[in-house]
Amino acid sequence: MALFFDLSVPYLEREHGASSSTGASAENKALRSARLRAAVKALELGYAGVAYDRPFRGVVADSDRCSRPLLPSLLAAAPSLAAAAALHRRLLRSPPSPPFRQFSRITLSLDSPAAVASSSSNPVLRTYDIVAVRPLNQAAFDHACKFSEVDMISIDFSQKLPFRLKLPLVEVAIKRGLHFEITYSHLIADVNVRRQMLADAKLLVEWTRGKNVIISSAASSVNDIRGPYDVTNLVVFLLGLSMERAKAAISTNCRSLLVKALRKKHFYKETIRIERILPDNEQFDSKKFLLSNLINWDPISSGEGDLPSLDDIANSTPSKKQNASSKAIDFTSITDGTPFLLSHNATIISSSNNLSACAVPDEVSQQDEANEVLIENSLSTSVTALEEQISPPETILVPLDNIEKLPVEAILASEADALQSDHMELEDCNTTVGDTVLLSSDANLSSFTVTENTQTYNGFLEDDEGSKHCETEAHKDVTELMKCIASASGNQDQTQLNDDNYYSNSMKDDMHTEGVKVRTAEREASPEEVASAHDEEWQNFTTEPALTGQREGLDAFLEEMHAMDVIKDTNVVEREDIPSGNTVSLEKILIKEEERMPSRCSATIGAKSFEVKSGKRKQRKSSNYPASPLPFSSFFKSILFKRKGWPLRRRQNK
Amino acid sequence: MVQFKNRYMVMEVFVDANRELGDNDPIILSAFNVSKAIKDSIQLNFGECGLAVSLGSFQVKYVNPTTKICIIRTSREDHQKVWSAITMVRSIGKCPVSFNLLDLSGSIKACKRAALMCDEAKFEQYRLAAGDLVTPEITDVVKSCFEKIKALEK
Repeated sequence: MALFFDLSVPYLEREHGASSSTGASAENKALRSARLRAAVKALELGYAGVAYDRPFRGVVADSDRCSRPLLPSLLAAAPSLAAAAALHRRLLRSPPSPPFRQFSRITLSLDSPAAVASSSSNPVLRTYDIVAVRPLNQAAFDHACKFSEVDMISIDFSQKLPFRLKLPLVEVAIKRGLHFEITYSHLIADVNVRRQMLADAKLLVEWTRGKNVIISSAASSVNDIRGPYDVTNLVVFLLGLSMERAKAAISTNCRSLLVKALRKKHFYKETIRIERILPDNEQFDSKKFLLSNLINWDPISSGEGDLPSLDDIANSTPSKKQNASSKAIDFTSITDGTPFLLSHNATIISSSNNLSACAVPDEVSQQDEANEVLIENSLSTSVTALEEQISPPETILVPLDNIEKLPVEAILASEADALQSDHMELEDCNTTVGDTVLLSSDANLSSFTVTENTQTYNGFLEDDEGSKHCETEAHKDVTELMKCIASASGNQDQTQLNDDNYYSNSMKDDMHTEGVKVRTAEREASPEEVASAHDEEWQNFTTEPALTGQREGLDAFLEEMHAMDVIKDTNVVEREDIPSGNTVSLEKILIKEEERMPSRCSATIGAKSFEVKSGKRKQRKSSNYPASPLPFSSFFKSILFKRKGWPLRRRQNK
Repeated sequence: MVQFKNRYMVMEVFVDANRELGDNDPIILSAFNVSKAIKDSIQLNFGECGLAVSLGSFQVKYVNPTTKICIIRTSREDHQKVWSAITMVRSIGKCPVSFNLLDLSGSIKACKRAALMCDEAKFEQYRLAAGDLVTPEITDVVKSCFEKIKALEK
């Protein structure tokens, strides 16, 4: 069920310019008939589409706009064509229903990186369906692989390569989604060229491993075109591709390239399709129109040049069916007229992948939702990276700049509410779920972000410049935090000793570093914010031990308590708020626990003993602070245990 | 249990696609000239040894000069090589041709079935293209060819 494409049928004739002399026009006619024959042959052999390739060298001018090279009536070329095409499609096991498609393609021969760069953003090029480059020296090839915005890099293997293929460059190009083209007509046409070509092409095939490689004919005459299976076998046998990769190179790779290229051509920013449908005075049923259009949307149709499908041909409808889908972006207007503006130009905006976007959305709510999602994400990832905390203010700022007319306060308030509610939810989780330690860090962070965000809001409400200032301030804050973390290990302060332990622990296990970092950062740089959060935690923990008598819960709890002590030391005001009765009850529970497990007395006896720990103990401790609240934390623990237990078992075996 | 196996390829030949429609064929395909063209191509592309290795089981079993369908037998080990060589055939004598694979099968039975199907379909196309030019003699020749396919290796 694969459709085969031949993306390179040479299109050499010139419609205008040199056609004044009779000799040139005769030549044009010959070239045109050769092209027609090639297209007919491809259709007959069961290909589902061809691209007419115009080779080009020099500077692209406006006159080089794509000028309908498409052949309107392939059917008139031969009466038995439809039957032959149907037979070959059946033998190739490709469906007969898709129509035979014709695309336009331009291949730019480039000899300097500057030319590559200038070609990337040329609106004339986008009148073609596919844009390919043919680098002529090393610099152009490097630039084409790394930066160019074309669809395909076509390499002429028939001559000695003017540059060296380099593996890193090829990999970069593949990562960027560029395709490499290998043409097989030279392989067939000339004996001497074969020798030249195979070595280089094989190198490329080996390096790409068949990924993003496209095989096309570039046939100068009809006799050089071969059937898809023959081409596949040729590539498999001579270039050493695997069978399925070779088949993909002539079918699915071509299709994906076409889809991508056409999306680039017909959609604004590859997602939004702009259509000028009706004049202003006429009303239309937008919903009905869009739905029908979207349902019938064909990702590899160029909008024109599609022959009717073979089923239709079989029903003997020689007149070309009118293509129902209206033309996409009108490029003449875009390039000639004013710059492309969504708000001015669009009568309707339809999104290709989102049906709900058909109805013009309430911008406020959508932006709001988007922001909320962003913030929620940053919360749920919580401790993973402190750097990410920079992002929420930024992301909020961007839409606000765009929507100037909207009441800014409303958005800010709603977002602040969202944050608060999130915060509250997390707090609730703290009281109910057993894994309090993990979640409490979340709560800390959420409070952290709330305050930071609100700061930004305030700044923004004052004036625009202020907001930017605030943003930079936030940046500074975070960088300061990071600095503090760096200096934390060297700090002689009594409050830091515990953190030091953590820090050294975390060095052993990368997964835990982030969590510890965030903790230290909070303690260092924003004591007043964190303190409030810790205060709430504190209250949670007083109720906690009653629920969880387990060892680990207690360990974690002790840890928290110690942290609380630290906080208390640093800011006296907060300490006064903490009710003393709670601590007493904690002490009692501790003693109970000690009695239950006498072996661990030394570890749990008090805050001071925390500073002296065995290695095993440290590891247990650090496992209480993973980078994020993992749902599989128990799973990881079991792995740890196994690793520890393994050498023991081996020793027993000896 | 290493058994010698064959591959049967049903191929169609496009004779000089550049000629105008309705012209007479510049050459008449026969088992001899098809096999000679393929052998030349093998020798050109894969050398004496390549030719010698693949000659063991290489045979053009059947050629239909009207519909231009032929059946080629090779050993399974070399069938990719022979197939590539066939793909790279450019001319028979002075006349440019190109081969196209229609079916590849491992047994003569499956091959006969596919060949018959393709042959009939191609003859239909031939009749569509030629129109009134299809004389009873041509039809008789084609019918006898169909019988020849059915009689292969019986």
